[in-house]
Amino acid sequence: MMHSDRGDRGDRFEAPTYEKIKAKDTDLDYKNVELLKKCVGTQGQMFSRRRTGLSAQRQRLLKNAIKRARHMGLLSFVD
Amino acid sequence: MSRIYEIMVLLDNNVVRAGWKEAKAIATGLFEKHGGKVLSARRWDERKLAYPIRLRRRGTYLLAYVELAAGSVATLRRDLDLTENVMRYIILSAETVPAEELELTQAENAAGYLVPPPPPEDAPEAVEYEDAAVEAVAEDEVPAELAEEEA
Repeated sequence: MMHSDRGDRGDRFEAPTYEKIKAKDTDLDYKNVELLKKCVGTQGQMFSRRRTGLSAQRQRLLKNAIKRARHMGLLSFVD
Repeated sequence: MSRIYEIMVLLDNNVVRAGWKEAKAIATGLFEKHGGKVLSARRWDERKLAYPIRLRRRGTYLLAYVELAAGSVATLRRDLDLTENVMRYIILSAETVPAEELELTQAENAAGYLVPPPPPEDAPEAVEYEDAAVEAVAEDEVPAELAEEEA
């Protein structure tokens, strides 16, 4: 009884699937606000590499782009 | 040594309302003052800001590509900091000027091109409303979403 909540959830657990930014040619630029919005959560936090599916190099570009967009008022720091 | 820089400037809508040409001249005038050669400069967008900056909720972005001596970037920064109508700016080095930027700049400079005026949402009385909105968000948003994250 006590653990029923937890047990149920454990049985039904599935690895979450995320929409990843796979396209290699996608321009990770601070002006590409629509794309950047997909890479941050509802509260404005950046998504991890696991979630964006980017290489370390491109994740770094994404990080810079997000920070630049935030500075320019294109993207929020916190929602 | 001179390089090409990509410079984006966020301009106060109150200045843009008085005329886009004049507003643009504020920025491009500064670039030229510091020995820059403006390769392209155009209105990138007018949009709602993600968060209020200097109590403004909307702003107009100018995107320019400028050939500038590396040594004058610091002085240009200082000048931009001191210019009231420039709310934010970003200076990045660029390899070349994208072809489409040149085209869009030409289109903007062509006779008969009409720059849409900013919507009148950003009136001074919006200040009170802004504060109220910020408080409202702070109060109700946190618990529900936090709970969702943890689950």
